[in-house]
Amino acid sequence: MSSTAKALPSRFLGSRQETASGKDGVDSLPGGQYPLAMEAAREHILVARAREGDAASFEELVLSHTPRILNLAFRLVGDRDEAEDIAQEAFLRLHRSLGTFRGESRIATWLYRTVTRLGIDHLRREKLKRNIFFFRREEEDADPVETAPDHRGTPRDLLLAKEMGIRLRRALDRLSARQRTIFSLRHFEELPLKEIAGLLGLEEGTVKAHLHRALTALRRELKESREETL
Amino acid sequence: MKDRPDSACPREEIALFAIGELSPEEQGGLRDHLARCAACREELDGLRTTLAALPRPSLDISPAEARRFAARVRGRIEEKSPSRLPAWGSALAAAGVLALALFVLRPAGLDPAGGENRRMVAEIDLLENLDLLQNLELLEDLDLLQELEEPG
Repeated sequence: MSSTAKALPSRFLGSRQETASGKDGVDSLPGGQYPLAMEAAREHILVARAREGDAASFEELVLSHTPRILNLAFRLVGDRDEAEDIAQEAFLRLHRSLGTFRGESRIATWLYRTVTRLGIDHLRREKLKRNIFFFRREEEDADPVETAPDHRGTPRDLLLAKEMGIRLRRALDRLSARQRTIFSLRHFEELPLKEIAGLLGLEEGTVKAHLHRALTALRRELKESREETL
Repeated sequence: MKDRPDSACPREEIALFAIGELSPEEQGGLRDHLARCAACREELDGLRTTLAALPRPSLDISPAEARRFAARVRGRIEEKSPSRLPAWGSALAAAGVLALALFVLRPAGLDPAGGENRRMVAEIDLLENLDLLQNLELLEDLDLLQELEEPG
């Protein structure tokens, strides 16, 4: 297993809660190593069968990774339909790569890397579209900030929180594709910077600098928003 | 007191600290600075508030939705796989028919390797092979020498 796979959060490496297939192993053994090993072995078998042309095995492989990969894509690009397109493309690429898949990294790690890169490409294209055609996202599009579970409060609190969410979402849109991706991978996916650097093929110092710029931009947006509200 | 962190303030470290990406050793140095710098403390507080205002968005994907998605991916693979070979076959067949038509229907007198063209090609080939030209001159000299040596 690669270092990237080791460092991915446990929820990403196939906890029972996030696996739609519901065929994970038992979580009762010490350290949770048994279910992880079981899942790896099961995945190995599915990959081998899929490589021989067994479509059902590949479908099962897709099914077991769908919730995590779809959520990752959604958190990167902020739109469910676009996230589904990206996740689908990642799985199609995985299928094309099965013949050369050496098994040095987990499928999850491979998919994670592919979705991240597809996400960056998508964000860059969207940014370019907006710059060229003054394209603006439709108001009725699902807002990832709004869809997140929020704390209950007074109607005014909820309104302010919603307004804040919209502003921060706009601030996220204004970040460069790389800054936004790095921020999402760190803040939402909780990946360590070293792993983000590995996924994106960047120096750790570069990742730190992008993260700093992203955070500063978001902070500025929040501050301005508060000053306007007061 | 400073209104905002200045160039001497470790702003990147503050951001990394806010997001939980600073080693214990680095944290020690930063805490010392934070104890002295109110502007940086405010900056850190602002960053933490910002991060707290951006909760992790999450899609609720039911098992049925996941199954539908997986089936769609499988469908895409299956619709691509069988069509690939016939598509190549059709393209090759079309190319073959086109090549045959061009050969059969080619206009007379358009033979690029015929007549004048053929001679020019031969001359160009000869010019490109300088060694051969030099050898030809030697052969001509040899003929002359042989003539001089002949009796009579």
